[in-house]
Formats: sequence, structure tokens, C-alpha cells
Amino acid sequence: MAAGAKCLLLTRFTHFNKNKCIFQISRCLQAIPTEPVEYEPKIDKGHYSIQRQFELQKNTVQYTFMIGLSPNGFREYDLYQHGRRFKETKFIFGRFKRSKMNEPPPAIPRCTQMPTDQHWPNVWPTAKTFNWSQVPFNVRQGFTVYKAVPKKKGNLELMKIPNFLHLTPPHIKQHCEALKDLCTEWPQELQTDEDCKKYFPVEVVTSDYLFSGPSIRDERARICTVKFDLDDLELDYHARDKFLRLVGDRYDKETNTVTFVTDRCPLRKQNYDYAIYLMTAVYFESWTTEPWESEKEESDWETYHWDLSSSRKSVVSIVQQMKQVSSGPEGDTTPMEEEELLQTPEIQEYKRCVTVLHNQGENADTLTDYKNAVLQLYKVPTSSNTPIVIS
Amino acid sequence: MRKQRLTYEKANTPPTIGVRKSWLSWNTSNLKDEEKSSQRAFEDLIIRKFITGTWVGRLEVISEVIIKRRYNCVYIAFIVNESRELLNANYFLKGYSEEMLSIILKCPVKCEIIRATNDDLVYGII
Repeated sequence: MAAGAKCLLLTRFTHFNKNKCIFQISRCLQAIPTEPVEYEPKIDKGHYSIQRQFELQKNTVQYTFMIGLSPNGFREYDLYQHGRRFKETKFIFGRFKRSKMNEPPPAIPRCTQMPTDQHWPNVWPTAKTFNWSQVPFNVRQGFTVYKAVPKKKGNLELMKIPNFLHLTPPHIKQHCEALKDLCTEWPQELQTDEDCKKYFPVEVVTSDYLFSGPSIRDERARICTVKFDLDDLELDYHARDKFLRLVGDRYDKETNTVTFVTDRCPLRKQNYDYAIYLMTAVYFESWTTEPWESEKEESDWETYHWDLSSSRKSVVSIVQQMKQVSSGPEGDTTPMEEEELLQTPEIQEYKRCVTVLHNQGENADTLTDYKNAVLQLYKVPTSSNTPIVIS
Repeated sequence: MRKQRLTYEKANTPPTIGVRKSWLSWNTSNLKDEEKSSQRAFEDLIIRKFITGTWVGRLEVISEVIIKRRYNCVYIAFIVNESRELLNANYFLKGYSEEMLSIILKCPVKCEIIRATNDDLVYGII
């Protein structure tokens, strides 16, 4: 029995086909050639066999490598030494039989043989589960209870979590290189957000839903949102007022935008078409003036118009009566005089204050202004007391 | 008399999920406002039964089966007992499992088989 009988632990097949076979002895207790060696196989009973002599220090051990291609294309190999089988595996009646005397040597993990300057994207090209034998660094994960730190090999926690070994900087660089051909230049006309808003006034928002499942359908993808700025539409005072009354809550006063959200149709295209139809229909409807619109009363006004209000009539009559009292009973007002009355600074100030009071609501400033305007109008001496708003 | 060998998965009880150990099923159906989580759970049950029933004997599944869903694919990861001489059976069972499960689930199925020994999985002995 040679001293190196159990020396040969593993052979690696670096290249193999029917004509050529290259072995590399990867682990051995004694010095034998580790460089890949080419052999010329010879055919023996349908198997390709190679004989190779290794000269060790004291003894000469002869190994025979039996290489075979099974009919289904899988690779099989056996090792002989001095005519005795080193390993034996047979497939008999659906059961694997193996001689327990010669236990096969354990596999050498790939990570121990990786060069340090390898191209990592070749090892880990896409997203996959953590494999301890392919990761050339030590990593641990787990909570220590029994004074045992869960190590890299066979660690289920490392397999569970999504890893980013497929998204290292070399990967990203490679992705960007591949995507560069598909990219186009940004248009020169669209340098700022204002330019984008000018050339693309209508904003359409739809959502695609990507989830893990065999179906790509999601009913939420049908919803379509169309936004546009109200100033981009050509509207006069009446049309703008009618437009705002028609859209109702869809108009945002702060951003001055109108938003149509459509989800009543089953498909996104139908919902988009419906939103565009709505936009068009509301626009043209706002330009038409129906006969009943002339019947608008003061309570229907969107803003307060003092010139059309009853406040103007009463103020004019009060001021005329004050003038009559001061000048005599025979004085009679004419329309010209009424127009002149309205141009007086007291009435102008009163008009402004009443309009602001109606449009902006009651607060300390508007009430104070209104009080001062009334006192000025009726020639009442002003006091320093300011009205107190009780809320 | 310590005899029972525990894996990390068995040593940590279900209340520690999300604290000491993570989930065995990863899919978007379990997120908030997503649908069909019951369907995914039922499919996971079928997958686990199939894998643990297919990989038996020398090529035994010695860990829990992790099921990850990415896009329309199902990725199944598990640890198989390390045995060097049964590579052909390993390849056959991998292809068989992927083919059968993709017919059942009507979507691409990939088996990611990690090989280790029972001793590697031992976390504690009680």
C-alpha cells in the first residue's frame, strides 16, 4: 500500500469532451502536479479512460481515471487505484447502493477558490438567494441564544432576506452601459418647469401596479387623473364663473388647478377619454348663456357688486335726503346729480368697505373700515373706540 | 440529557418573527391594501407539501422551504442534504419540481437549492 494512497482527495474537471480531457488535482497531501494536464482518452467498453502515473516521494502510485458519458449526457467518473475501486456508486432497482468503506471526500466550496480580482457580476449576475458556497467572504446573521453564532453555511436567515449582491457598483456600471444606447437626449426647449408647463399644459396621472403574482391585472390601474391650470383656458368673466360653478370641488383655489378623476369605466383608455370629454364639455358649456341666467338674484352672486345692490339705492336716497334737509324742500335730484354723488370720496370709500366686507367676511379690520366709512358718510364725529368682535 | 438538536428556525418561536427571524414567504399580497393573500397562502401550502414530499431519502430537505415571489415568478429556496454522488438525481428532481409546480401554479417556478449537512444547521441542543 502506497503512502499516498489516500492522498488524492479530489480531482477537478476543468475541461471535458469526447476528445480531450483536462484534470486539475486540487487537493493532495503530497506534492503532485497541480497544473492542468491534457490527456488523450482511449475508448474502453464505451467509456473513455485515462491512465496517469504520479510519482510521489517514495512510492509510485498509479491512478486510473474512468470518465464516461452516460446515455443521458450526464458526466460520471470513477477513480481506480491499483486496480481497486476508490469509490463505487451503482444505481440498482431504484435505490442507490454505495460502499461505506470509501466515503467520498467532501466538496470544496467554490468561494475558497475564487481569485480576488474576479469580475463579480459574472459570479452573481441576477437576483438570487444567498448561497454560502458562492460568497467569498464571511457573514453571519442570527440572534445568539445557545452561545452559538449562526454562521454562513446553511444559514436560513441569510437565504430569506433579499440581498443586494446583484446590485454592486460593477453591476450598476454594466447596466448603465447597456441602457445608454436606449436613452435619448433631453429636449432643448424644456429647460425649466415653466417650459414644461407651457408646452404640456394638461397633466395626466395614471398608476401601474406591479405585484408578485401570475396576473398582471389590477383594477386600480383604470383610474385616470387629468389636471390643468384654469388660466390656460380662454374664459371671460361669465364663462369663468360658470366653469367654476360646474366643476365645483374639482377646482383648487390655492393652486388654481382643475382636477378630473375618472374611474367609472373599466379600462384606463376609456377613463382618459371620458376625462378629456368632460374637460371639453365643461369648457363649451361655460361659454353658453342660457335664458334663465338673467334671472340671477343677489343671493346667487358669486361676488358682491355694490353698483347693482340695494345698498347703493338706500345710500343714494339717504344722502339726497340729508342734502334736502340741509338745502331746503324744493331741491330735486336728477340722474346727473346721482352720478356726481356716487363720485364723492365718502361714497367711494363706503362702496369699497361694503364690497370688502361682503367678499372677505367679517373681521376686525373690515368692520373697523366699515364703521369709519359710515361715520364719514353721515358726518358723525369719529370716536377712538374700535368695535369688538365677539366670536 | 440533551438530545434534541434544534435549527435556528425551530429554536426561535413564532412570536419572534420579525425580531429574531424573518418570514418564510415573501410576496406583495401580504402588504397593506393588497389582494389575494389567501390565494398566495394556499399556493404556498401546496408548494411546501410538494417540495417536502419530492425531496426525500438521501436528498432530503433539511430546512424549511422559503418561497419568494418576484414579478410573476416563484422562487423556492431550501437546503438539501449534501451528497456528492447523487448529482444526477439532484438535477432531475430540480427540473421535475420546477416543471410540475409551474404547471400547477401556472407561472414560472425556480428552485434555488442550497446544499449543506445536518450538522451545519444545528443551532442548539436541548
